[in-house]
Amino acid sequence: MKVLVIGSGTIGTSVSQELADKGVDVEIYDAKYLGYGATSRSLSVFSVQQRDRRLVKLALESVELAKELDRRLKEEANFPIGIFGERCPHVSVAFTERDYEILRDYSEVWRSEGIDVKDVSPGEVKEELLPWVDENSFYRALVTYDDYKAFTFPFTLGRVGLMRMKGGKVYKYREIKDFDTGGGRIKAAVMEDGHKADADVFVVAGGAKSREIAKKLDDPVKPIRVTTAGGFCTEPYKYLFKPVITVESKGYRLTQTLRNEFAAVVYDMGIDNPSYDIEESLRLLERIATVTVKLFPSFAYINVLRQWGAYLDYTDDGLPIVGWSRKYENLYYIYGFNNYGFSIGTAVAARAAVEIADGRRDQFLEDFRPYRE
Amino acid sequence: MSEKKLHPAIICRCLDRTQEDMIGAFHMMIDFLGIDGADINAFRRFSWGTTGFCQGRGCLALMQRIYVNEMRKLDVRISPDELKYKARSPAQPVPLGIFAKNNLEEV
Ligand SMILES: Cc1cc2nc3c(=O)[nH]c(=O)nc-3n(C[C@H](O)[C@H](O)[C@H](O)COP(=O)(O)OP(=O)(O)OC[C@H]3O[C@@H](n4cnc5c(N)ncnc54)[C@H](O)[C@@H]3O)c2cc1C
Repeated sequence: MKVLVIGSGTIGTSVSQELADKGVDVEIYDAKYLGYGATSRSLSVFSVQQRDRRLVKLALESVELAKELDRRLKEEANFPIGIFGERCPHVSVAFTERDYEILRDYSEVWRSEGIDVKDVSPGEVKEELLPWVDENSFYRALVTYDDYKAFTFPFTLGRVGLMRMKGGKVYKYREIKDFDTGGGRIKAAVMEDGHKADADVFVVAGGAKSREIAKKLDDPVKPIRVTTAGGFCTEPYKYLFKPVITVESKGYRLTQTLRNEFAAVVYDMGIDNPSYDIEESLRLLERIATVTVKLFPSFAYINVLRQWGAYLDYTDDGLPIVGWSRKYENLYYIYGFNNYGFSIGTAVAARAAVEIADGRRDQFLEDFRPYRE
Repeated sequence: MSEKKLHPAIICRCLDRTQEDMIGAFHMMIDFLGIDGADINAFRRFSWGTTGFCQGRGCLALMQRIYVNEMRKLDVRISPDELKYKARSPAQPVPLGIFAKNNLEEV
């Protein structure tokens, strides 16, 4: 069986590597360089702080799979660095009582999957986790202890290496522009220069741009909202800042990365991004800087080295889009990963690979089908 | 030890990487991604060149040259288009506080 995967983000590379492991002949095509989309702009925290029980379950499953991937990359592929960091506390900050009430509701979801959640005062946060924090700057916080930091590029590119060891192929700068179809099937993917690639199965893992592909095929899948996101990173500092900080009300997240830089992102500016813009913007930088300095006044002196823009694919029910097309029997969709593609992508991709390669349906994925209301 | 190793050509001053380090990273990239998957962005990511304090201001041209030369040894000709690399703002490191507003409501 030959599978053509469109997109080399964390989702496309994960599905491809899982398929190659099953002996499937895989080819990845990306319109840009490998990992171009949301993946290379991500903070890539594996977080159990999800808004839905099913997602929390998938997040826990992803952590176990990622640890195994980390081991394989070192042992089988001689990958010189780890791709997965240590377990770290995740502090979700509420600036107001209202933010706190919303967070408390989410935390019931986390608890229902057995996650340990601590409800703490600003003073306790300062004493136990974050000596840099201004304890007068926020109302309360909820802390979990089951998150992990991943190493964004090695995580994605390492998977490509494993896939290639099993005979998989990957092509950069090859945008899929069109398709040859017939008899309710996709026959070939067509590139800009007219080059055609055939396969038995076509997998759409194009992140936010997947909606353009579905549109091209006139396939009435569930719509997504594409929003503006982005981030910045600072110069590296000694690794002392272990926790991940999230301010859900501002779509904001900060941590010190495995490269020792501080990286902060806004994963949802609440602004649509119909043209998939990745330009950096002052507005985004101002939001990140304001929230950061509010919480950690001494960070005002840290130098920003680089900032970037991004786009992200959100669904209205907060669940991803995973499953076979109804219009073309050999077309499979896997996108719409909101702000949690790293957190749950590993587990979803592994499950999707079983559906694609073995033809079995995974009950757990039934709620994520592309045509749900 | 050869003369070359005693006086290595430093490509990345920020992270102290020599030409040999960069060429090693280039080959690791090719091993992992293959020629069809490799590009200047992947080279930056495998070698960490252009990702330090200078953000490429000091090393980008050298990195591009190594990339083109090593690709040529593999019989691959690189067009200037393929060397595109987006320099991001700020143009030089800027303290975070400069961008911070007084009130959260403003952002
Ligand atoms: C600022 C920010 C912070 C984030 N933080 C976190 C976090 O802490 N934890 C977490 O779990 N998640 C986080 N995320 C979300 C996570 O990064 C995404 O959910 C994930 O990267 C999505 O991966 P993907 O493979 O679906 O899409 P993408 O990474 O967007 O990849 C899609 C790829 O498909 C290619 N493509 C599209 N159309 C075509 C075509 N027609 N032909 C060929 N190729 C095509 C694109 O070029 C692209 O490379 C964050 C995202 C952002 C932007």
